[in-house]
Amino acid sequence: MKNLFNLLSIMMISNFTIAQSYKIEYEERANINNQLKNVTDPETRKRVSAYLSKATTFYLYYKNGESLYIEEKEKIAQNEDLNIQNQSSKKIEIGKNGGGIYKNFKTKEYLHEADVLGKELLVVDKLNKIEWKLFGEEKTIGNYKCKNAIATINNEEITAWFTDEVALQDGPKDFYGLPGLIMELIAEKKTYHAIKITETNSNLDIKKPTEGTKVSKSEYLKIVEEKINELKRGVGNSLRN
Amino acid sequence: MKILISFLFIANFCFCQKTIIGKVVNTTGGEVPFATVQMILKDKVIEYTATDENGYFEINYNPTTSANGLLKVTHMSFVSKNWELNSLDIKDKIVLSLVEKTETLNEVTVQNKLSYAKVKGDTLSYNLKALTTGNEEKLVDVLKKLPGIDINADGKIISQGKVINDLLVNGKKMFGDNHKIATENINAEMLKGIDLLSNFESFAAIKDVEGSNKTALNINIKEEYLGKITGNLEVFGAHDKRYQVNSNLFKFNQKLNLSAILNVNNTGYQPISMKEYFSMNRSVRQELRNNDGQSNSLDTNEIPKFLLSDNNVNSKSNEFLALDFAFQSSNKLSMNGFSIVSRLKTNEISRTFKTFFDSNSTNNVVEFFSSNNDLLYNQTKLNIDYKSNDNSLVNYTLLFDPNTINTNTNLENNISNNQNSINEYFDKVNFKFGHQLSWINKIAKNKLLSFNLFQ
Repeated sequence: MKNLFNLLSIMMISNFTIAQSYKIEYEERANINNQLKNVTDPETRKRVSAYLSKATTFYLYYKNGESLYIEEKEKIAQNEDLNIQNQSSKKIEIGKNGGGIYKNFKTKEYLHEADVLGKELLVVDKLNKIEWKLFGEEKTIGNYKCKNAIATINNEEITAWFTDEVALQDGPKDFYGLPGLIMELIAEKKTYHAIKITETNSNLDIKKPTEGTKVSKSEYLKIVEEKINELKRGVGNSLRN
Repeated sequence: MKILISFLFIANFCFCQKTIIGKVVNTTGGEVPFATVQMILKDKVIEYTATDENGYFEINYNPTTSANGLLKVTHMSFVSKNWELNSLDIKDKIVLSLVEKTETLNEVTVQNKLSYAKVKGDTLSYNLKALTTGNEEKLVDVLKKLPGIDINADGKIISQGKVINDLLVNGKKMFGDNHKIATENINAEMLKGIDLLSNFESFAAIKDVEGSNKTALNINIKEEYLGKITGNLEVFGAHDKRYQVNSNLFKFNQKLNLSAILNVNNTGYQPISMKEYFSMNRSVRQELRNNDGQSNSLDTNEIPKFLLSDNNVNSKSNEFLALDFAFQSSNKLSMNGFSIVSRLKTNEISRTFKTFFDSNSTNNVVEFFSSNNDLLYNQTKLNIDYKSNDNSLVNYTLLFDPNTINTNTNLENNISNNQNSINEYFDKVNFKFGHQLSWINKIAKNKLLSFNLFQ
């Protein structure tokens, strides 16, 4: 009897999990105020800020404890168009060769398909708990009441505004683990703003990223730093010549 | 037994921290994974966690300080619910049950994209939210922050290196070419959006045939400012009889825009600069629709000398009043016009002492010069467009520029004790009147017929 009950409840859950997928659109842009704090010449400021302020659109797909944060691509957009016409049968498959960040809150898996100057890497890590400090401060973003939280990750201070009215413990990029969706996040170099939240009834299928050489998060950070230094040296050399 | 031991352990280690273990279920008793459980005390989140795959959660709590706390459980598919800790039997495993939401979220736009501008056809719409900080006072402060828009030294709006052709407020012209009057008086908080229209031509038939290289800047006013009289009044005073009064009042409606701007001061601030004075001195011929541009030359003799003088005068006072209206009754008839009255009074004094050395004597010359100048200037323009249908346009423009210049110069000199006094009065009344009537008709797909009459 108990088994039957379990089976029933599992069936029930799996029934409504089909409807339980979400798409959150984020805009990622450079944190101009911070990056330009040492630039005082107003003309240069204006020019650089115009260049930096170009936003990139990212989507966070969430379904049943798994999520994928991925840059807006033509391909996905096309698939979605198809999906509207043929909602019941068409499956959206995302995450394949997409270069996204995959988070699994069940298995605490973190995968990031990264492309560091042509080198394809698959960053494998665990979803560690981010030590957020909650502050009572409130502000409204859109129609959502948000509260702020601050965490220090790799010596970088991150300010997040989350809302418990959207009960997803997720957020843009590498950020998650607040008692509600992160609506706005201000990091040292970038800012993230939630633009749109969509509940999709489609059969969203989040695929784990698989491509690339497996590296750990610390190795990845090291490689990125090395590559940047290489570039800097390269620029220095070309200037010298 | 196991739970008991762990409880004992926790109690031994730290007297204040306890753990609540619970499960979140739905109405039929099925587990709810990935629900958020928050411990809230006086609106502050003390602790939070999420349920695991099987709906279980553990949350720490402090029995002394959090005794009156709340457990708030939220989930995307369920209605969020609060439980008071007092009402729960937290010694045992608690079961919290949630009710499914009946409504789905579908799609919610949280906020508009923060992109700088959107391009749609010939229209470029600036996103003021992304470009401004909210500390701007006047329209001019906002315009300076828009990429691609500049304000030149004369207060004209520049786009892509050229002065824009028309400044529109809610699609209706305002103060003709006198951008400065509008930009320095419209308050930034009234703005809803700013659009840059390239290839602008209000009469579609001309655009079809001749194209247009005109640009216009359209200012959209927030709805809450429509239909009401808005504006400000500023009064400044300073020691020793210095004053400045600024007032601007606007009334924007769907059909009618009215503006009144007043400035009275004796601080040397000129609401109309010399260059603006020149640019206002234009002929009515330039108003002709499909006129191939004929620049008007200004006779330098007509320039009142004291307009060229700087602020180094004994006294200078300005009185300035500008009225503007734009009326659009229907798609067919539109009228706009403005009248600017400006009075500038200056008083110049100079005293010169010259000594001439001769071989045997020296001559002293003392010169005292004073001049009272008075310029009263008005420009009135009325423009009526009537489109009887899509292919025909009747346009009438009237321009009336009267001005009076009144100078009184007094020169006294004393050359070797010979007193001379020269008094000069100069009165000049000018007026310029021009009007034009034009009729443009599109007779074929690529042919325009136009008649112009002007005086």
